[in-house]
Amino acid sequence: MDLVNAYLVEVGQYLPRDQRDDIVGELRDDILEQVSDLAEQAGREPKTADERQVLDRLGHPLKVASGYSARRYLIGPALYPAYLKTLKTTLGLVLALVLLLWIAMGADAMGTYSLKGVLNQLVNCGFWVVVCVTAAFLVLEASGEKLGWYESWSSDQLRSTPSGLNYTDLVINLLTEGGFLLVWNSLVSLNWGADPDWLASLTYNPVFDALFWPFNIVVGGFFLLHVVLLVVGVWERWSAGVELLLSAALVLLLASLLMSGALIGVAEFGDYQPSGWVNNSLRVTLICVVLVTLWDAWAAYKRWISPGSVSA
Amino acid sequence: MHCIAKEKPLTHSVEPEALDKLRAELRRGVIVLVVLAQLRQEHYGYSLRKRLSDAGVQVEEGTLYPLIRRLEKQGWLESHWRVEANRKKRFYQLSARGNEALSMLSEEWSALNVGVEKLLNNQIKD
Repeated sequence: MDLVNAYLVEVGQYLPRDQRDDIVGELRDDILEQVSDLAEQAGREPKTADERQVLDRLGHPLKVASGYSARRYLIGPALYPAYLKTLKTTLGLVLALVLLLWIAMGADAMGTYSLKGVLNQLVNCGFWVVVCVTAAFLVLEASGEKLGWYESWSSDQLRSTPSGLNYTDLVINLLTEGGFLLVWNSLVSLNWGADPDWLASLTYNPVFDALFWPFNIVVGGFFLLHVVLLVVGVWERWSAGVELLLSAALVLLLASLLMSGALIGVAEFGDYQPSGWVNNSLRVTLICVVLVTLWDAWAAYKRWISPGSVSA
Repeated sequence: MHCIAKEKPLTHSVEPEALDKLRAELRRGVIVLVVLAQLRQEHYGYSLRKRLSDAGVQVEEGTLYPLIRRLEKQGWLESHWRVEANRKKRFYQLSARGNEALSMLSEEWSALNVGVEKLLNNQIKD
């Protein structure tokens, strides 16, 4: 059953989201009926070998999903799911690589960008990725190539006990983590329209310096994990475990910030005083982040202890 | 389109790939007709596939399910989910519009069949 679930999760990745549950439900019934028939013919209970036989005959999940693709004029249904997967993966990898390169080179080498500047650079980069991947698939489509590699697929390639991925959550996480890393490493300046003199007058608790690298490592770890998830397409036990560990580390870091007294000081009347409203806003924000992280940790824990649920 | 009706060994010099393509083209329309005909009675996906297979028309899941979804979208089929034998199954049946379409297609098929038979057997006089 785990094998059938793993297969359906992979098929589900390539299906239109609004029809996914329906199609997966129908395929599940068909596969289980075939497995039951095979076992009945052999006069015994269904075995994993029966599941393998049915799945091997069905073939690569992409092949099954391609039958459900809507009519496309540039890239046909046989190639469209593979095109979409390649596009998502390449976009994720290239944008992550660009971001990590920026951080590795640092603000000194790259200078500080405005948020608009960073978005411009990323959109520009993403545009060229879309152009290159689309051009490659147009050539494949015109050549009549049907990506024969999925003809040689076998159920041995299925990952054990995966569970479905929520792409919206994943993209929000990647944007938040990427944005945080850019700001934290001073590659992007956010002034929110505040008076530059007032911003320059702020002082920061030394705990920020002490936690500079720990935050980079933990948030960078989250970012890399989520890029890997984007490529792999499913949660597995190991990834749920890493998410859980990183969440615990992040909660500890946030807690140490919250317990460090006033985090930001403002020059008032010629002296630096802790600013009540700035600190209170920051504390509320940090508490919200702790709660969201705990929620994510709980979801990761559930995936870790009972992997294999299909939420495709 | 992947469907096989009583596969026969290819012993001639015809390229198998080209022949497969022609076979697929030949059967594409026929599958719609037989699916509609079978769905005068309620069926779920697997029972429909078995029914077709028992009659010698084997249609792969990857062909049949997208096809019945398209037919449903066109309003020719109606469907609903129901639990049977502890499993959730989606049952399909011909709609009134589908019934009308089936009648027209059946007539078309009969006329075409007669014509094709004549041509194949060289029964048309010059």
